[in-house]
Amino acid sequence: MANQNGIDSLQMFTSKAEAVSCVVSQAASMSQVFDYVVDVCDKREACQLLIPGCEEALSQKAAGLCEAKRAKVVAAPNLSKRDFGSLKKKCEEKGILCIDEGMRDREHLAGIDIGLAVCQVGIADTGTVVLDSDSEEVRLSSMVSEVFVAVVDRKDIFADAFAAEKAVNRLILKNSSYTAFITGASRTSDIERVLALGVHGPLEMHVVILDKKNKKAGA
Amino acid sequence: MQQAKDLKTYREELGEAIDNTFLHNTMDKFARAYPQGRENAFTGLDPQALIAEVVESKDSAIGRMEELYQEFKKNAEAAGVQVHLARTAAEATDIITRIAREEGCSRVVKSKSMTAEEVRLSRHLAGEGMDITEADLGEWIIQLRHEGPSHMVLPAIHLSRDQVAELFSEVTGALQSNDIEKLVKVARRELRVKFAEGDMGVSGANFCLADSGTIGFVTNEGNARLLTTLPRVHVALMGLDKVVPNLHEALKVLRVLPRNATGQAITSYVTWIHGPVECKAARNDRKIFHIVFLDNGRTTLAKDPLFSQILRCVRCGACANVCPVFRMVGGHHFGHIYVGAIGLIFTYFFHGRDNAKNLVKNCINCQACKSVCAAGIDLPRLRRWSRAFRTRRATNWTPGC
Ligand code: SF4
Repeated sequence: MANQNGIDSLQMFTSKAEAVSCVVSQAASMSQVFDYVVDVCDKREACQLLIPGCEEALSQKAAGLCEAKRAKVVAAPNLSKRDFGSLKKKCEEKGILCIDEGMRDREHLAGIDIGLAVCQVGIADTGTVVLDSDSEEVRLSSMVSEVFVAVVDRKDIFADAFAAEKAVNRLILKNSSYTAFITGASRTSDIERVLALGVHGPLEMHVVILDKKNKKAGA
Repeated sequence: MQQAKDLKTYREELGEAIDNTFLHNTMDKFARAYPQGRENAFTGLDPQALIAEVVESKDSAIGRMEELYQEFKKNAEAAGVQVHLARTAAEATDIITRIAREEGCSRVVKSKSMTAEEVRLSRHLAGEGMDITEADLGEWIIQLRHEGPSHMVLPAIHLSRDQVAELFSEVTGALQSNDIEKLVKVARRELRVKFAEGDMGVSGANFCLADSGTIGFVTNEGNARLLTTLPRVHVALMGLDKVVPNLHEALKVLRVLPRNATGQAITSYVTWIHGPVECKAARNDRKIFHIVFLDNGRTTLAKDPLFSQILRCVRCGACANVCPVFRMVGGHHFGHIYVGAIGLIFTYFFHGRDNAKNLVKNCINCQACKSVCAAGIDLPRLRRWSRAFRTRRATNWTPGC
């Protein structure tokens, strides 16, 4: 608890998240976060318009769901109106579709490129982010995206789960709630114990640590 | 699943398992890799001290299981959840079938749950004409092969990539290579459709927080997040032993469980659900949420001075990972439904002495399981006792069905 919010927690968080293959970076503003997201999305190769797995030989039904996708998509359902507007503008400049709802539509369920969510808590000793997922759109966008980008404020990073307990309880104890600890991409070792990422959810996870006091940070 | 009628048949089956080279190599590799992974995960921590905290926490919760259950029920109901208590395995499957009928569900998507295995839920729902899909990759594979899990955490550890490729070729009607990454992607696509079409999601739970009526579960694949989100109905099934007073006590277990199970500091996902959340496929945009608790002898067990400690089990699978007999023969011959050292004892209590009679002979009393158990259970000692019960019939205990 002593090092809550300190340099130690930040370093610990970064190294633990990287240990589970997260890409960790820092940003001094939401605008920098959005540049980062657009950049990651833009760099995804054109062939990745094809949804992961869709190049494989599939049953007719599964292949049917593959045909749904038409453009690169970024979903960011839990931003403020203003922030969403500025992300959307940056996306549109690159021809990327930016949405904050409609995740249940068949074409999005099949898979979107990037899900972006602002998380409420970080837990340093496991490299975990805690995401208020009460909204269905938030749950789905953080699951059906190929790349999940989590933003967490540096001041919300706690040393360990016990230090974060109060903050987590605040999320859980709402009248009805869905709270997610997320640590790295979706993974499995079910075939011959070989690690494979993206079995159901994201194939990649990125964490951007927001530090508004750090003017030098650049994601 | 081990179900040889007599010791002779059982020994023959064991012989076959020992001759299976793939199984042998896989189990050997796993037995060597596991201790290293576990040690790494506990670096800088004192595993025995953390386990001692789990023991204390779980013992205290088991001591007031009934009271905690009542508290959980009150709080969950206040949040809008329907809470059920099943005395037996059959009652549990009946309750869940009834829920499915009343809600008009026929397409069920399910995540991995040992409690669901304990009551044979999938077999039952399929028998009722429902279309049920196991969404955990390993569980899906063994479901397609009509097999039971051979390990609590790695249910398909007995299979090779070639066998999976062959299986997926059949399922998709298209030839699949044995490239694991590709096979995983094929499963991703095939199962995504099932999530999209499912009308009922069935999950287990690792924790039930009495002070709020919240359930918590750990997963790596994230399948449980999709199946508690997309279908309009969610049914969670768990044993009464999963109730803990609050988040704080659950976090003590969470600190040990993934480290002991898979050598991870934490699983990719830990999910906490409190009350019916938003679900745009449901009436009024609210999920229909049922929680079913299974007793199946747990209330009686909780009062037993010696055996109550088995209710501490957090299903990490470590007692199988370090067992030299498990390493030789694999899970299908070393358990009925529950596998490993704890499986020998659980089988006796939850699935009856007949199913346990051959299994308990497997223990060579090496004590490896005792030293690795996430919940500090004295497995060898209990195994000796359950064997004594079997031979002398010196118990008035009535095992579950
Ligand atoms: S008995 Fe102990 S080691 Fe075995 S699964 Fe349960 S908690 Fe893990």
